[in-house]
Amino acid sequence: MRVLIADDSVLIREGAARILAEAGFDVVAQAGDAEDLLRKVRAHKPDVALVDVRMPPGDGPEGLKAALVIREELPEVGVLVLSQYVEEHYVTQLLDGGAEGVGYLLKDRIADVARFGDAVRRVAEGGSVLDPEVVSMLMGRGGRQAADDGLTPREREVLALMAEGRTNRGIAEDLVVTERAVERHVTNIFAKLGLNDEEHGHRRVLAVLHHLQGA
Amino acid sequence: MAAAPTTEPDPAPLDARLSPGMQAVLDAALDCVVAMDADGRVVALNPAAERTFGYPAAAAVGRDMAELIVPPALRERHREGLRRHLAGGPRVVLDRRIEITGLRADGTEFPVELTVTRVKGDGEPLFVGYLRDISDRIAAEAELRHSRLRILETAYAARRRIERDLHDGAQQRLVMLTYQLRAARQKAGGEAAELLDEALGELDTAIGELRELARGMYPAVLSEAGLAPALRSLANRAPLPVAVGAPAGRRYAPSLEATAYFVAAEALTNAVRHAQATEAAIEVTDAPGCLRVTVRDDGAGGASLEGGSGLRGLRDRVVALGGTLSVTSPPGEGTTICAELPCAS
Repeated sequence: MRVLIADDSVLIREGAARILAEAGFDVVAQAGDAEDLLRKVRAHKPDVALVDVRMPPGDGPEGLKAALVIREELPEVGVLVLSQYVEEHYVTQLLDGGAEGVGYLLKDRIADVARFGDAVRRVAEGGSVLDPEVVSMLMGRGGRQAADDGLTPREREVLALMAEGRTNRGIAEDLVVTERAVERHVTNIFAKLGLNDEEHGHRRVLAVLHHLQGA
Repeated sequence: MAAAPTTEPDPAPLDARLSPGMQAVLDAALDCVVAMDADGRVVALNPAAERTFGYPAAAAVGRDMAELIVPPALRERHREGLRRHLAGGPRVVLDRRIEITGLRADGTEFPVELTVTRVKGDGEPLFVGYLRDISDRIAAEAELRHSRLRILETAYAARRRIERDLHDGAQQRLVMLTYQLRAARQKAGGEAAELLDEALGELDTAIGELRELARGMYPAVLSEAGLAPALRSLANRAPLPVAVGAPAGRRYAPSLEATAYFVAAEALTNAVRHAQATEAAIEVTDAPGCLRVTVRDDGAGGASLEGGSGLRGLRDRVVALGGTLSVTSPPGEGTTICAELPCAS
């Protein structure tokens, strides 16, 4: 699996490269600023690009802007945004074009090698990964706005874990229930949110998005 | 404007009305005293006026006062005011303190404070003006304003630098330290593993605290994306529901954005910590030349600028930008804090 890493901090860049190489990824390029990132993404077309929100040039969220360009221009390239902070403004911009092949994680998560590797893989494969802090922030907001979606507290819990990109098995382990029980919850969530069978592959993503956007 | 017909200067009418004691008061006065007749001609001026305006009394008496000490741009207004008053119009200028611009013999203009009164009596109308050069005060006020603004901007710059240093330095190092400790944890067993688990827990807490500290210094999203996203972020992290209304996409001067943000942040902190509010609202409105930030909560009220709270520090920041901060907080009826900040628009 081919990965590109963009961060202006050499420490983080080299660290992430080492972690991912050890986890079996092929780190095809590293970039230290947004322009370098775009150039190298176009040249290498990696499976996934890790992008720091705050990068030179400029004082703005140049990395995020570059991430949006990649999503638009090269939708087959997964984009995993890493930031020191969870910001709704950036998360919603990133998810505006859908939640396929996209992720937003706090930088600390790099240190948990197994979970970080899983997250990178999931985004590369077209899935979505949101930091637990992103989920709790957005669920908090969504919960206030869309309290009448009829979800039970347990279903809400399951949905939060889905938003983090966990599989049914992972969710079952976390909640200490059977995988069958999780499947039942997931089916109920789809039903309550009005997501039918047709778009089966996307339903997970749609459920999360539906909820996050407080629709 | 035709000048008044030249006549022989005759200060006698004023002198005749003054006792020797009154004359001494005028001679010794630090303020300028200038007397003018109904034609607008100088009747007398005291030594302070001679010094300030640069005319000896002998050269000034009898001349059109407007030509001597009123800047060209204000002369017509002055003459019109005098005409209206003599025609029985309202006393617009008389007997009040006003700030206006004066003109010296060398052509320089300077700020003065002025009161004009009409001498009581049945004789020819006679007006006496008291003037004080307030250049020093105006300059000192301007310097105070500028230095307050510089202090504010320096403080914000320092906050931003600290945030950036933490972001680029300590925060990144702690992430990599976590990775290293986790790697060690993989290899360790027994007591060492327990100690490492404890250390990892502490480290996680430290990273969280450092993140909040850095954000509190100067939220990166504020400089990166502006006031509205920063306020939404503030509201998201608040322990109570906070509605945010703010014009999206508009950017302002950094010190303005920072002050507006910290007003909202401090108001929310107070709402939670001191007022036990259950909900709050932040509203930013953007009128021409003025950015207004209003924070309302439904808490206990009773807050005041005089209290020991952070409100006074907030007011200092707002005033440094030339704005005003008001606090409405009747006991039991919630608190409304409103900052109005002048902005170029």
